[in-house]
Amino acid sequence: MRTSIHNLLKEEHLISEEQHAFIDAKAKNPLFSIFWELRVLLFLGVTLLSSGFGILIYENIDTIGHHTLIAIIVALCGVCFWYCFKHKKPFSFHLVESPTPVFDYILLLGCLLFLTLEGYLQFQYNIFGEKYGLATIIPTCAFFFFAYSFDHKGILGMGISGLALWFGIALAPKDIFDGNNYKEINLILSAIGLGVVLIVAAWQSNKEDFKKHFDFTYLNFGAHLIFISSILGMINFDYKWAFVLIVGFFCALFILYAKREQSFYFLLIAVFYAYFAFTYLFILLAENVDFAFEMFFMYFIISSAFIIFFFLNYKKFLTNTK
Amino acid sequence: MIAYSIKALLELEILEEAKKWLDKKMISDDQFDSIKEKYRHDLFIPNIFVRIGLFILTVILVNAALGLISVFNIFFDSTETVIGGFLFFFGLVTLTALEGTISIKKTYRAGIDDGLLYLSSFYLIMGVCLLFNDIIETSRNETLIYTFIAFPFLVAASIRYLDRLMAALSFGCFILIIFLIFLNAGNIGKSLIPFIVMIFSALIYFAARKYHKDDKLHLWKHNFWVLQFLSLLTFYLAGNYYVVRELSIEMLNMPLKTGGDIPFSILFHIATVTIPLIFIFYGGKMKDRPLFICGLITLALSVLTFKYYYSIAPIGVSLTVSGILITVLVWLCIKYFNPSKYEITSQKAEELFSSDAEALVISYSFPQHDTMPKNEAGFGGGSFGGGGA
Repeated sequence: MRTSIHNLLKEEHLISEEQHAFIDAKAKNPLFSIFWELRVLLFLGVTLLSSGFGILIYENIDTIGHHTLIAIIVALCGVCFWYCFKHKKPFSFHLVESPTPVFDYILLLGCLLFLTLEGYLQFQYNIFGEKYGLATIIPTCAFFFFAYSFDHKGILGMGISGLALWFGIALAPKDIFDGNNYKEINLILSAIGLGVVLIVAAWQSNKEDFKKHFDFTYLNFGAHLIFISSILGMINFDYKWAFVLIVGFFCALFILYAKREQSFYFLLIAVFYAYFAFTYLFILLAENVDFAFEMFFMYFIISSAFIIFFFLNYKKFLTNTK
Repeated sequence: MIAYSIKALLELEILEEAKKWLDKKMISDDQFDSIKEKYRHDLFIPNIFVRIGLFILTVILVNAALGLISVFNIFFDSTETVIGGFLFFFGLVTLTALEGTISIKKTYRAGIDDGLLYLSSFYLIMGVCLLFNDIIETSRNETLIYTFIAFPFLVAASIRYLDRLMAALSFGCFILIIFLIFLNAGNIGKSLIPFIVMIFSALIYFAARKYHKDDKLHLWKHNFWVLQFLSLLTFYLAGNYYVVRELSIEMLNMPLKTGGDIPFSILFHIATVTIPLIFIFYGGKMKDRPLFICGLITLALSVLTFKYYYSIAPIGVSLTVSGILITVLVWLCIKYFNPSKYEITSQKAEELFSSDAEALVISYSFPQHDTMPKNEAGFGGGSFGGGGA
């Protein structure tokens, strides 16, 4: 016997006749949606366009003439932002759906062009001179403004990265290990400080109900920033126990948060960073013992079995506060 | 034949469908609860993040166990045969652990079963290869023998555990076998490779397309989806000018003089241009998603191919022009297909149904659940909770 799910459920009187008819009509809907394919292509197009444009400017800086180039970039940038302001929906403290299908991408293109413009001006006319701080904080502020007024999480992420850059660290993941000199304790501490600020920002936006859906972006950046920098601090500096305390404290914090918000993502990252830190300490303490190798293998077997057991029962863990 | 309980898998499917209706507010909470009550499966299906965690930990655990054994130096002076035998044995142990977790813990796509499946297949295949290494080494075609050994394991794994990655690997292994056989079949065989691969890809594609809709093979429909997608891709790649030309030079030691070209080069040029367009056209016309997506991907590859051989434009110009072209084209498509043209729409689909849900087959009888013990796990354990936002 072949039957579809809604037919089966109707026969068992689990859904009504009207519901069945409605679902049946939807199921026979002949439309073929290419929504997601077009989205991916649009993102690709915007990325290609802005990087190609950057390369073009870099290569032809001497031939086209600076004023022409700047005029072109300003014009394109202006068109993007004009489009965004024209189609903007009224500001709200809550989630605002993007007004047109291409809106988010036009805004992204505008912001990327804005960065190109600023870099060009700095490279050619040195308008900021040695004041790199100023050069970073201007786009950062602009991105935060755009992120809030147009409700765009991607731009918010760019804004947070700019803020971190302003703090003296590049936040792009690929640079986090090789691009920065993590030997500087000040950098580590300021990164942890920024992480705390971001967590507070997430907490505030949740509490005040001000763009509540941004809290994940803040928390995500904050969590990774704190964990990575304090683990690096633990590896590189003498005050290991201080950093161990920081890692431990924030792991506990995020696990409690995960439990309260039912967030599997934060549960996972908190457990993994904690496991990483703990393993590092274990190896550090045990490396001079006899049979160290055997012990390490035993350690990995026992510890991962323990965490597997924990994850197998995570539902009980996450739900028992309710 | 399947490691999982068929009944539970079908119940899971019904619940997932009902959950979509609930999210669209097409049924009430009470109705959903009564559906949940009736189709209450006992599978352990964790959230994707927990799945990733469990997968990593399983890999660490199993490899640490293997490391612990090897540290005790029992293999210090052993031959490859002994090591191979041991690896095979270890693979069997892992496989037993996999069967155990599935039947006791009822894990389904839970990270543990994924990890154990991939590791045990790897150990078993490695074990057999090492076990017969002395014989294999004397052969001219070692790689061919290795792929022959791996193939049955991969196919068995993709059938028994419904695993998509294993299905993909089986397909890759099969194409590799075809390729290697004809690579060793003299000059005529070598020059036929592209056509042979295209023929086999086409055969697999049409078979997978047929079985994808087959009621009896409903549980493997995702595997057949993967097969359709990959066979379209290899069909295109076997006809792509860049692939054929470079492989001819690399693998077949075909010396090309400057200005010279591979045999049948005009055929491959035509294939490179037409295949993506045919894919996109028929993908849209027959509303066939693997065909359509493959068309888009291969179109990009074709553009790259022609750029590689014929374009002298600097990289900046190419990127900018292609960026503008894509953006404008997509914008036009969004306008053109809104609300819909030729039954194609650029709007978000009513994601009520998995595309083939209307043909879902429930040819298995569902026993009543009244006697089943209460299970608090419920539907997927609220795996739709936060996190991924």
